[in-house]
Amino acid sequence: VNCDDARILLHGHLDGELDVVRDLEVERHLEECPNCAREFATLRAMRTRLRDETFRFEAPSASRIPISRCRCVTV
Amino acid sequence: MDAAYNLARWLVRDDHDAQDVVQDAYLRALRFAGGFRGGDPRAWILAIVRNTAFTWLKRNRGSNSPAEFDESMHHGDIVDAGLEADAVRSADANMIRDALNELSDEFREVIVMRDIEGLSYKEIANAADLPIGTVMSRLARARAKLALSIKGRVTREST
Repeated sequence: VNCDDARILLHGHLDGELDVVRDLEVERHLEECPNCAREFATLRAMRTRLRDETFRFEAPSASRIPISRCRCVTV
Repeated sequence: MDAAYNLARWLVRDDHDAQDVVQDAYLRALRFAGGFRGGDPRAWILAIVRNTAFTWLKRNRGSNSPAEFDESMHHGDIVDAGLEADAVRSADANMIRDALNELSDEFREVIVMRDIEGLSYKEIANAADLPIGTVMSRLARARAKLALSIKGRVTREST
């Protein structure tokens, strides 16, 4: 894995979407490459932030009962 | 379902329009319930919400269809995204929200589906009708742009 490949694969690594072999290759690259390691740290920090509830919009109560508005629409 | 509203709200960026998209998506889901082929019903509903939102965006705001979205890598998208974790950690929530809202629809959707709604690459690929590899490369570009945008906002704020 070189840095160009790693910049894409880091995301699969972060998301747990790589197969075991690829995942280990990326891990090894991260141990050897401070630039990619720094980028990975940023991606992980961003993921942590985005998972916060503050970035979820709560549905207004009306749309929790969607069927109530179906009567006037032809399906 | 809050997830349906959350996804629609991030995609169309307006409360009332998002409610309309969710209503329409539920109607479609009822019509196409027979087409549900198993798997996670939440991902299935979110796929319908996603597609309803893009249809809505195209009709009402003239957005490009995802098929017309330029998938190729551009110099600067990822290179030098040497992205400063500290800036991301210290950014105000509004900065992150604004940065996310300023991404193109196609970039914003993959981040919302993956990072906020927790869908798998396969579920995103099914929803957006993309190859799985494209989901990963699009996420890479989207996150790089988001991180740079956040970093820019933090830098401007502190000067």
